Amino acid sequence: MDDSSDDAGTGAGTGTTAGIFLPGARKRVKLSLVKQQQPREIHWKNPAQAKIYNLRLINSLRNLTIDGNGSKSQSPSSSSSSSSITTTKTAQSSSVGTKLPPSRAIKEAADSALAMTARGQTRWIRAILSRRRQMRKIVIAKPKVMKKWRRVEKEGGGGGGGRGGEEKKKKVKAKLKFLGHLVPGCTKASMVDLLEETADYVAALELQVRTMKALSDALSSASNVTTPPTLPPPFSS
Amino acid sequence: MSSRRRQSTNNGSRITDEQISDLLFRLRELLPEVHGRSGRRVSASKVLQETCTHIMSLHREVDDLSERLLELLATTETSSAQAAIIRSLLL
Repeated sequence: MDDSSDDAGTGAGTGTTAGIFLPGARKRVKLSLVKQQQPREIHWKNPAQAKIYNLRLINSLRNLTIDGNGSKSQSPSSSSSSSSITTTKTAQSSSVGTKLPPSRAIKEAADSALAMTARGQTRWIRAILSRRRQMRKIVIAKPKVMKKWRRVEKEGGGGGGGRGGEEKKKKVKAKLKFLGHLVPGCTKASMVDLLEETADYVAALELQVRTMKALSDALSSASNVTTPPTLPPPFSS
Repeated sequence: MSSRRRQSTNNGSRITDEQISDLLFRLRELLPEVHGRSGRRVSASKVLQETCTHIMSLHREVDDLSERLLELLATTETSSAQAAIIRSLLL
């Protein structure tokens, strides 16, 4: 099912990230880790990448609306190749024949566009791309996470008096687990991998929010400026 | 974290605390800073909690924005939508 479980956290599936998570080469990892850390998050702040993502998002949204004819259902079309993560500007709409609620459809399109814009094979990218083929189960599993968080908070509040070593570790462990549920595809990742994925994911999410905000602002301003031709003039005789 | 030590001995290497603190520091740089930077006191639980809340708020923003985009796409006509798209490309 998931590719992420097979690779056991190796983010160097295609060798693009230069073997950061190779288990046998931890010494080399330290040096390369420092070098590779900077470009990864800068990758999301690159304005060129923002433009690429913008284009891709627009194209996928347009395909959604054109195919759905206003009902916003995703019609089966050419399948997206999840293995090749290139930065081409071709729009690749999803290949799922099931009908999604429209809000979810846009979010899925945005996530898929984000995953395709990304460089490298991190876990959350692979999880998103594999999600596009199995939409039903994962969409249902999401709402459970909030309840767990409240339970954890109550326990943390109760045992907040004695901050021994064990207490701290339990708290941190619980928070790590919750974080693993937040980031797609990282429920069973080691601590180091999880932190790495989280940093990348947060940067990508910020790009996504910025792009969608700009797009919605542009659309809203355009709809305000242009007068709709269907309205009759008030003083027509 | 005993589970982490078990993993590290299986791999034949150690995950140092310094490495983890570096990762946490990196995460902290990404997050919006609400409280003032208090030297190097980077407690793991606080960073993780702030990260979780930040990710949840980002998710909520994405949901709101997608709803808004949905309305906008439904109401705008094709010609004006294309004009807006062209305009946004230039931004």
